[in-house]
Amino acid sequence: MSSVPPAACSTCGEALEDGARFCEACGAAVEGAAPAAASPPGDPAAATGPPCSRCGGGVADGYCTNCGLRADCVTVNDRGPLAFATHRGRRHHRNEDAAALGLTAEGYPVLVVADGVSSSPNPDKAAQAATVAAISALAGQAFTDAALLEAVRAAQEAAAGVPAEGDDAWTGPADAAPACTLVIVVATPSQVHSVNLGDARGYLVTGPVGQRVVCQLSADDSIAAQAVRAGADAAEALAAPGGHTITAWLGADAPPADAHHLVHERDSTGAGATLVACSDGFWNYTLDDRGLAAELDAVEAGTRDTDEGRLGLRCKALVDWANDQGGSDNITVAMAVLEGEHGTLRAGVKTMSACDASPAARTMRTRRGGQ
Amino acid sequence: MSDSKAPFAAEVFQNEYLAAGADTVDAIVTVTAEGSATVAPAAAGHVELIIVDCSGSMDRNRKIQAAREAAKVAIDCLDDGVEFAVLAGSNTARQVYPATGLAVAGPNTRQPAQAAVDRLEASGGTAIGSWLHAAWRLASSRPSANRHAILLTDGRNESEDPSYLGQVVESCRGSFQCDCRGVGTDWEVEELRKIGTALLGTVDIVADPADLAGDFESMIIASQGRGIADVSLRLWAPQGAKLLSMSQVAPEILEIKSAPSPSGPLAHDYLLGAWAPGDSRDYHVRIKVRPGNVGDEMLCGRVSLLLADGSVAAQALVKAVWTDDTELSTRINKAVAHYTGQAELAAAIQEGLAAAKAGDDATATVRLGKALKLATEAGHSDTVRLLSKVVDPIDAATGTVRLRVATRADEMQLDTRSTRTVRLSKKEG
Repeated sequence: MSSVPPAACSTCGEALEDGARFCEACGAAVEGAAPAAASPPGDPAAATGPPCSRCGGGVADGYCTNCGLRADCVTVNDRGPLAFATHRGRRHHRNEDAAALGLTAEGYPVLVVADGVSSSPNPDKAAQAATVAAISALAGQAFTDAALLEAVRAAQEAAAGVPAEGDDAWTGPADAAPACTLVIVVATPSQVHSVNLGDARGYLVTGPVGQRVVCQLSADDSIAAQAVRAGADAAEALAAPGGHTITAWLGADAPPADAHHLVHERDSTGAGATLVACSDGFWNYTLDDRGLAAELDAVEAGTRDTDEGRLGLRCKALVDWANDQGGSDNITVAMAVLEGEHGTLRAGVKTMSACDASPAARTMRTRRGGQ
Repeated sequence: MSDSKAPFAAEVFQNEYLAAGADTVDAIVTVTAEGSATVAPAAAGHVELIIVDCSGSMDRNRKIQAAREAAKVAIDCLDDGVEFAVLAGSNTARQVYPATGLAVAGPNTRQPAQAAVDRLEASGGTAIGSWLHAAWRLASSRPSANRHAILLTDGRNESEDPSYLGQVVESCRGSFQCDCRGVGTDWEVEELRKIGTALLGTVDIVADPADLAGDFESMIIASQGRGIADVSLRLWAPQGAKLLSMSQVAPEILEIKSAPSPSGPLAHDYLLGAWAPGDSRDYHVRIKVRPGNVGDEMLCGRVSLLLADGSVAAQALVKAVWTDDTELSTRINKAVAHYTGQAELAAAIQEGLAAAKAGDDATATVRLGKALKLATEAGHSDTVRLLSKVVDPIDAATGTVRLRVATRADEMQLDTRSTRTVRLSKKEG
């Protein structure tokens, strides 16, 4: 293993800062970066790393030297107008979600979230592989439908290529394959694109505080979603046993299925627009889309405009909220500000149109296998 | 992996899963001194003190003759270079050899020492506190040596204020280790047990004086084999935690006292005395912590083995994970259950013997019967054998017994050995 970290990210090609352990553009871990200093032997254990998120004490060997709790912070990645926060939740021992942020060559924001399927081996590796493949196919590239299809295809191939061996926590059959869900959302000046397999979701939230409009961009692949398409009530379908069972995913044993590619037209409202991508460990607690709006209002109220890293803080606040509701699954929330509340335009955007509250004016299906 | 600096290994056995809101963690920590030739640097010297009861009662049953023989055998077993002294104990302690201070064992000193021992006479009372005080003065003159004493008595501590013995014992803590032997049956098990516990030594009965020589020989050889001096155990627990108990449970149950640790207010240090390569002891730790939320993981205890120079030879972690999976949280770790049972066994024996002594046969029958049941279940054949001298087993499986008319020696032997434990096969732990 080289002791000199590379100068450019091996995932998306962007230049790396000296000593960076994560890529600024796509968030992937830098190969060969020095690991965090191991705590030296001796007594008491010397504190290294960031302080304990519960009591502020020093952390050594992964545990707080004051309150003893496992150092278990919410991971936050903040890039200014794009950010995500992710955490293992309260029930799962391991975080099997993955997320990435990026900008296309034109400067369009890209959010990727993948959720490893716990009932498969190495789900965390599947989610990582799919996310990294998707973001590297889009970050820094010209944005076209073809590029989006290629990103999904690359993600499927990457997830299917993750080996099943080496998962100490796996007690299931040896022939099971790593699996994950995936959602990619991209916002152009006039449209928002969403591609997903499984039940990770994308949303577009527009309008001012208190009058937000929440538009789900993705279409779940789940038993409940099938029931809803057949006419059932959404809340009942989700509450029914097995409602959350996914019907499509990425992985070597995934059933043949098309990713849902949905495109929404949008106009500028002059009153704020935020792109959101999240795993079901988050949206399950929002019940209906109204819940998401209320929580966004709450976190926005909690952070000042002048706070540095405020988008990351807002993502973290949403993750904390989901943990407070029970945290029964891994939780990931990614956000991109498309338009500030006072109508300030993001650099590079020329015109914007309002989101149509009813789903897609136009849908296209992708084919697996890169046609 | 061990190197010459770190000859210890420490392993934790526990069920780390707690139900939501549960706050008590139990763990067994097995500490083993690696049995290799490369061992921590030998202590700066070795001191052996032989304290022989010369009170008037030793004149009976050839006890004083046996004590002289045993002390001479012990002197023979001393390695060259070991510093030693022989003390005669009665109302006070008198130095038998050398006249003052310590002598160095060698061809020039063994014979004069043995000649002095041959002149021991029995007369006077028994004031064990004064004997320990004299030993303390000698041991303190060599603070960095491996310091050990053998104390032999045949009777109760009648010739001094009872509280004096307690005070002296406390002040001797950490100064030297003391193995105690009672010859005959006129002495008090509880008195010697208090000394042995505080001074990290064994206690046993030698009913037949003729067996004293062999016992002294074993004790000297064992003591000289314990080349790793002044080992201590540091136990750190998090803020808000309460250490409910920390005791040795194998090879015998022993309360160990802690001292505040210089490393900080959250840690306590326990003196463990000298270890021989290959020694292995088990400790039971019970910690009460502030319960976390379901999903939280907490480090409840960090166990560090410290050598005499303060360096850390081994570490082990005691953890808790809160879960709502009752299948996980209701499991009982086999090692913990085993030693909980062993502690119950020791208590049952001691309570039963105390009841028998007080004339409460009904309670004695119940408690000793329970002890037989527990010992049988644990496969503790030594204890089953000792119990069978004191009770008649009618049905060992249910603990139904009948009290025998047992000899005092058999009762005292059961009492002194009640704290010895058997180990669980760790494959299941």
